[in-house]
Amino acid sequence: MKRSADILSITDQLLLLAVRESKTKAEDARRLLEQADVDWDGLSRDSGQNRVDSFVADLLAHPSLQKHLAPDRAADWRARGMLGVFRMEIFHKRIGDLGSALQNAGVDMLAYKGIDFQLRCYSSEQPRGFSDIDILVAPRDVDSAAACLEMAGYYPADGRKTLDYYRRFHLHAVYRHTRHPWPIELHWALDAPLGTGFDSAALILGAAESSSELGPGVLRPRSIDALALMCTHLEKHLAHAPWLPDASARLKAVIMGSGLIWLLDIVRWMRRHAKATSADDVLERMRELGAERSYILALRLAADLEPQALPAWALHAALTSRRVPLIARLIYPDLSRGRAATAAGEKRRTVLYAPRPQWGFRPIRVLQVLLPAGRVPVESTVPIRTRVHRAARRTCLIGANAWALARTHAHNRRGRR
Amino acid sequence: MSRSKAARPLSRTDLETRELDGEYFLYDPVTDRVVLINRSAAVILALCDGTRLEDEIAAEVQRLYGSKTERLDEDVWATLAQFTAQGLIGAAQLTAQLEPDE
Repeated sequence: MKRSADILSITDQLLLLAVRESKTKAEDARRLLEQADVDWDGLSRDSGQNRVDSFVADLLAHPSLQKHLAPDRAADWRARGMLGVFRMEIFHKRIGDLGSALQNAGVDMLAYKGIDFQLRCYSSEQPRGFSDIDILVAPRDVDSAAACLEMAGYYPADGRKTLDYYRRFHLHAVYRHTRHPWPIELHWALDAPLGTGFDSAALILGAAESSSELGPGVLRPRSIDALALMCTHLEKHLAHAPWLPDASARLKAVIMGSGLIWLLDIVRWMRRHAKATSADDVLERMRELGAERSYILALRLAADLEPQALPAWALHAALTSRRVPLIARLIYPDLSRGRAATAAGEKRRTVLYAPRPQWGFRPIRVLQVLLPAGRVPVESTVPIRTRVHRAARRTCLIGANAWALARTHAHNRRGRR
Repeated sequence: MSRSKAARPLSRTDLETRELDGEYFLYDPVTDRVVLINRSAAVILALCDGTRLEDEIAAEVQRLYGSKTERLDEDVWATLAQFTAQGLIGAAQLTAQLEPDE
């Protein structure tokens, strides 16, 4: 069996370093580059597919790493870093022009996902990557929007199929332009990963806000709605990743699924907007939009990428959601059922264990692990700070090692029989 | 085939340019590609305004850099050839006459 440390290649680790916020990332990257030969072509490919070129370029531009790059390769990365800046400026202009045209036609247009997150969570000097522009209109406006697109020089990406065909069998149609390399996706409904029903376009359009950055004709989703849309998109493309057994495997699945930028979007949203947001508001809106599960799955992956970015309430929501306790327990392997003392010689020992103390939970005594006295070493206790659902308080163990402790305990019990 | 020195190169007007730390980044919106050039190449590209012959561009570069060598001429022509190959000098506006190699 492959060890989890081997799952992530050098290029994977460089990608993760590039997108994480760390003061030692250059030093960590230098150690990686000294360890082994880097598959530079693979790094270029994966960085482009995951749309994190500007972050990798920024990392590789660090003076301490220059000796590891050939001059041509270093110049290539500088160019790739700047490519994102140029693209972003052109994207903004195109979306602004299109918004004006649609506004003149009486169509409300919402720009979401990449272009929205760029403005919400990233700087113009170090933009996120894009591969297309996503716009959402009400179903009644699809014909007008398509006509505006065609008047602006766009044409259907697959000219063999009519718009009516897409309206019947799809949720969006793709348009291309002869003078621009990236397509525009015209959406009139939202994706419903795994059939849970996320056709909440009207709700999102109804709560949309005008955008000063993109021009008066362009709407953007509410902050929480933007998060919901990104979580749902992430689940649509990376649904399998949160269920993998350890963080390395999950992150590898994200990179292979070309979804590192979506994960970074979630992390950045949490960093920028969590403080000004109420946990109840987020959870309630996720439920309204049918995106609660997507949200919890996205949090699971975001915690793998950058746990410090997640506020306490985000984890709290994921762990204590009444609607999704089963999902929460499945995707958080730390969460496991405890039991009453049954064997002689066992005594109840309270273990306070915080797997991720940086989440800053409120101290409670929820973790009552039943241990045979003296058999299982208990690690140093750490105050736990959280409010946990009453049922969970009685029955659950939380902690990275709680699962292992319980297994060890079971092993010891078997040995006694 | 080689291009005549009598050509009057004209750089494309749709290129976006940005200077950072003495380097010039040219963005081609058609190919969605960035070309990184140094200051000398940026000067040569700026001189490609459709009014100067290639020889005149080479002479202007020599004047700007205060040197007159055959090597510099060759560098300018090589740079212009690279610009042409990368599509930075618009082929439609180029008045180059193609003539067979001898």
